[in-house]
Amino acid sequence: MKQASTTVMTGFEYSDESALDFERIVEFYRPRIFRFALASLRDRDSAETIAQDCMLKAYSAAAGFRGDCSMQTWLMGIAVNLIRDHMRNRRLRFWKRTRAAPLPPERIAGGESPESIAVLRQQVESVWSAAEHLPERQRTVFLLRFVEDMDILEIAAATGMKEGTVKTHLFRALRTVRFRMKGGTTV
Amino acid sequence: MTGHLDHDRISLSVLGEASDADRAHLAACPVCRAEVEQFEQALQGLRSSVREWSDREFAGVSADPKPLYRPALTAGSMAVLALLSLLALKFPILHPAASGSVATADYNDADLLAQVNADLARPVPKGMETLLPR
Repeated sequence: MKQASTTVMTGFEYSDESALDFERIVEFYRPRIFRFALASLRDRDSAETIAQDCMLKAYSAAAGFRGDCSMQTWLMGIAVNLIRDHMRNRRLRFWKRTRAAPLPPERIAGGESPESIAVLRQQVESVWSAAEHLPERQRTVFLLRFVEDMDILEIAAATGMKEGTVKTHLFRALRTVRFRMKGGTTV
Repeated sequence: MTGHLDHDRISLSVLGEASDADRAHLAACPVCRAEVEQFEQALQGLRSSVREWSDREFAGVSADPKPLYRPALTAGSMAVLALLSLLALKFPILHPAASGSVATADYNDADLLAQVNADLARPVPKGMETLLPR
């Protein structure tokens, strides 16, 4: 990626019209937003809708972006809110169940023995299954941390939670996931 | 050493929040170290699997972009279809009518016109006539 676009990605210089290239921002961040929405909702159509809505909201709210956090954190914050609203609406539309998407287990620990790959595959599936049943906020911080690789401060900025709250949710999520991974049903 | 680390302490270790005592335990205990590594490996496997899955799904999305207003378009299409169906019933242009049918249509139009005239002649709409002073 070119240096100029890197500047755009890390900060949204709204006053600097030359730096404002929303098309490149969409191109760069839309797949990430889609991925987080897909992992959260496990439905391609919903994830696509969230990614589109997120970019539309970001475009209309661009003037409000002050650069206090990174562009990714800001966009993730918008996505977190959209996903939350979407899940609430989905709970109301109980007749419209989305298909449960299984996690494709290819390329897990490639190059190791078939046995170790099988064991790891089973563990990853357990983690994936456990994550689905986490409470909403725990699942959000869990996915932001372990799928999106965001640190505690970034997650706090994206979710609007305090740093300590993020840590608490993350710890509870991880404890539950590990417990279920080891065959437990409740924590 | 009193025992191995429990779920909570293993989880804290994965989060990088282990206490000094737990760190020392992990350094000395291959069983607990393996547990932490196994958990970290599973989380890394989750990350790579989700990313691969998302890349594949996103490629499908890019190849077949979803219209922004699909529900509105669907509803609009259905409304247009319904309207066309009604019009086809009222004016059967697809099946050229015999002269008798045309006469019937004229007759129906005359009836309709008479009905409209009668309605217009009312001082108030029919449903409100009961409110008029007698």
